[in-house]
Amino acid sequence: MGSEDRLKRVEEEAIREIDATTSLDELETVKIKYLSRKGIVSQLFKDLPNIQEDEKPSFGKGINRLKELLNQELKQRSDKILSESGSELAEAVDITMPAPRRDIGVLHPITKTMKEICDVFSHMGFAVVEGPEIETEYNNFEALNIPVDHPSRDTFDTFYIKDKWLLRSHTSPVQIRYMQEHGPPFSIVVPGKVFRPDAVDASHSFMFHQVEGLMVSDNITFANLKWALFEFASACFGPASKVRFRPHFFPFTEPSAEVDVSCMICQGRGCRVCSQKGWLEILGAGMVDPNVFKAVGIDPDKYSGFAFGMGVERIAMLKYGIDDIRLFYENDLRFLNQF
Amino acid sequence: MKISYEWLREYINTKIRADNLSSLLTMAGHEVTSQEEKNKDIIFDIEVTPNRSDCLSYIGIAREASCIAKKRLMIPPSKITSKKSKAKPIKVSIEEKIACPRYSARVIKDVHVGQSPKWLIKRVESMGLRPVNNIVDITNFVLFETGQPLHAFDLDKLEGGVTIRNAKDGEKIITIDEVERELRGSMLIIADSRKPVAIAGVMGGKETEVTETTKNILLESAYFDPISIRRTALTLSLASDSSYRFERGVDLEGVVSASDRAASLIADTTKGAISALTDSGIKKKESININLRPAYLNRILGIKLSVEEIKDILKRLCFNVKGASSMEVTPPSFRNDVTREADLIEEVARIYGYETIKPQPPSIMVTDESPGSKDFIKKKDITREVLTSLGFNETLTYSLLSRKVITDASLPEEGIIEIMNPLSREQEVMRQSLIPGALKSIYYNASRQAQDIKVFELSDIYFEKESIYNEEQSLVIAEYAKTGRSMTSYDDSELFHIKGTVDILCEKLGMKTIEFEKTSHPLFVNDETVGMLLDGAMLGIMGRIKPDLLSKFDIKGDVSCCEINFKALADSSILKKFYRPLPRFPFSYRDVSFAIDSNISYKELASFVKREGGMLVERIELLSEYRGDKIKPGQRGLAIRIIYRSKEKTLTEEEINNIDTAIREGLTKNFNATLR
Repeated sequence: MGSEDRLKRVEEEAIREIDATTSLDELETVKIKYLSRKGIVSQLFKDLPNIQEDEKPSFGKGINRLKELLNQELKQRSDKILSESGSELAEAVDITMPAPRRDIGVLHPITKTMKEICDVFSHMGFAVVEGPEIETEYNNFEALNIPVDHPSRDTFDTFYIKDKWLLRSHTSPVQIRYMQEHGPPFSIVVPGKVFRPDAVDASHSFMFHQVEGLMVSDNITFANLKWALFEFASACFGPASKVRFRPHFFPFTEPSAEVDVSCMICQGRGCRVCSQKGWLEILGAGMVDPNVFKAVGIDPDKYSGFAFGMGVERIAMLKYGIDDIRLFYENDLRFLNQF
Repeated sequence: MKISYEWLREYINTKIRADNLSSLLTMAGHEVTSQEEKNKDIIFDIEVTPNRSDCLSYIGIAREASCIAKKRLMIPPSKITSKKSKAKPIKVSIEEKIACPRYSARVIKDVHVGQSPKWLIKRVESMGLRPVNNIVDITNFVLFETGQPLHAFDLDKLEGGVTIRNAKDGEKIITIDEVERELRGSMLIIADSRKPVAIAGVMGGKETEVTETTKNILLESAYFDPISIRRTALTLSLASDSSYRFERGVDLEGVVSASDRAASLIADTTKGAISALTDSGIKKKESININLRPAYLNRILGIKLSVEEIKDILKRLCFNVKGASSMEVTPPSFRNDVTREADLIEEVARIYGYETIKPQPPSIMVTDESPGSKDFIKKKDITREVLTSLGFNETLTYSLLSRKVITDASLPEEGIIEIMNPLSREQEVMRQSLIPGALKSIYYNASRQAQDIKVFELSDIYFEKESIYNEEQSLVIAEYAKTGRSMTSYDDSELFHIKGTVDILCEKLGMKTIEFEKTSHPLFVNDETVGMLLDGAMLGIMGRIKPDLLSKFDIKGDVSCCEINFKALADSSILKKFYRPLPRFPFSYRDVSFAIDSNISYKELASFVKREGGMLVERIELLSEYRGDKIKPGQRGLAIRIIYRSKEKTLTEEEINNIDTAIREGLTKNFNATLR
């Protein structure tokens, strides 16, 4: 048998064996059989001295070519096996099976809502400021133009501690604290807990949260207030929401307004949530009353400002369609995990 | 205030549709909160704000509506046309001229008390009142029509004239609601020569009330000081339609016209004979002139109204206006709420229409948070982020608790802040710890079949210290397992989960190392209570809650938790990060497993290994702890992994083996460890 034939036979044999493999393991066995140190190809090299002198060069070249060819074939086969084995595996998987669940925790919906509200105003340049929940009667009432013997106090039922100390019934005393320490211009937003002795039911809680805002400078107008709250409503309730300002009375602002947003449940057509009005009251606002400025030593002829305040629970309830305020304080994980 | 649409229309010289009227009033600051059809009429419920006492009447509301709609207001005539009696006017003496600036009394003789005519019954019923008799119904009718409260006495039951004076301490009166009330010296009363016959502005006396047998009456119409009436009503916890109006302020100059209106109605309905009026005190309100600067008005509102437009609005509201670039404005006597320029600006804005004012962005103004407060808020955000990503749910619990919860949780009561006026026992005291709230949340969920519960709360706690009220941010982290795993297995115990959570939190907050030290605490199981120390100061406490305590909260299972002084934590946290170059050479490790006396702590062992291994020991990991019968009593088995790495080169096997051998020998020699 000629040496050419011998190479040819090894080549055919090897290629057949390579093509017959179905896994990388089998392929590796074939590779070892032919290309390892003691493999068939190495054996051919060892036989080189026994070859007739005139055939030696072509035989040598032939072995090298064979080695190269087998390497190529092995690579091709391995690529093929890899690409096919991938698809075989996919067929075996039942992807309708649920994945093992690894829960992350969630923020409380009130924290979330409060943060969203503050973020809207932060982007307008407001600084976030916090203040104490145990307050003086002066900061909570007198400085905010709510005198002791005035019926306007009736809307502010308050928990008292003793002497002149109480639990703040709104976040507005933080306005006083801030203005006592900072001169205009400034714009601040104040998130926090407030307390009012209300019997707990689906729409009342003796503890709830508010976000308060205050902007003071030498040229702040009611038109600016409208702009800020339009921007807020659009960011918080969506760009399609409408806003309306109704005159109202608050001791610490004048002019004062209650602000309604078009009902997001019925798009203003009237439903149970908005008592058929198409509007939902979401906040109180107005121009800072000159008496409040006087209480903190700011000249009301030189400066003007607006203030607003909103209940976080109410906004969260409207946003998420929650119909019972008590859910926020029961902390049922099945409730919390929905947000 | 309830307003009947049909009744209201008597005062407006045109027909305004109910829906239009409703939205017109709402947009002028008198919100119609509901409207209800009733007997072919519509009853509006109008929220009258506390400053607008002038709108607590039909004429008041009609005046607003006609001003906005530019229609004519029709006030019924109150001129007395019927027969007059020659009866002697009664003597009125006002002792308290500040609390009672004006008091009018009118005698009406020969009245026939009986059922009211149909039209009057209808009016009274539309206000939700029960008709009593014609005299009482007329006084109520005029109260609602004009806003001026009136009172009718049975003249024959009065002894002598009337005196408006302060009560004497201990004086008593039975009011028309048949309750005997003890009066105090600060309360204004109407008295005859013997005793109190009415609590001024609040409620009349039973003894002198008008009954079926009454022949002659004394009709009172007065102005009482709001503060005096408010204090009396509050002290007696007695509110009436009268006190509601007096404490908000009635029209001093409307006192007599209301009396006239009632008298003529009484004369018409009961055939009584009206006598002359005794009108004592101030007749005219001291008029105020308010300076209004149109430029300032436009500056505050952000609009451009002309002087004429401003004047027109104010005149429609019955204000007297003089001047132009600087106006002199005199409000009508019924507008007690308008005393300042700001009040006038609101009036103009209200009638001009808030909706007409165009939104306008303010000139850009960015306020910087104080660095401290900004950082603190950021640290709270990071804490919430870390804990939620570790699977803990944020809870919010009430800041007020019942005292029983504090006792149940074996928490100290020292410095606890009490609420003076709680509505229920659930709001008696302010919490000094977040743990009771966490336990309540756990109970709530566990009793609803939750198996494993991981919660945290970052909120304020409150305490009194040296007469100062303090509030501090606190952080509670709690983990509940229905089947307690306790400390039986190191890597499965809730306590170590909590410790691990605190470790990660501290790392992310850029904290110095916190030391954990065994301690004792009434809340926690004795051997499983850990104090957290930062620079030697107590930062917080951690442990497994005592089972007897859990049973007080009805919790079946195991709870481990920690409570940390968050303010102290945040104060020592440094958010600034610096990049550390990444290691250039690979690490190698050796595992060491040994039995050792149980009283030797991991901390001691780890610091020995670090010392012995020097720079090349990058870190040590605890693989497992074994306690049980396969080991000598008093001993435990530990497996640790020591990770070696050099900054300069790849360590050879030989180099590592040398240190490893030294460490193993050291463990045997210094700690009597049995290597395995």
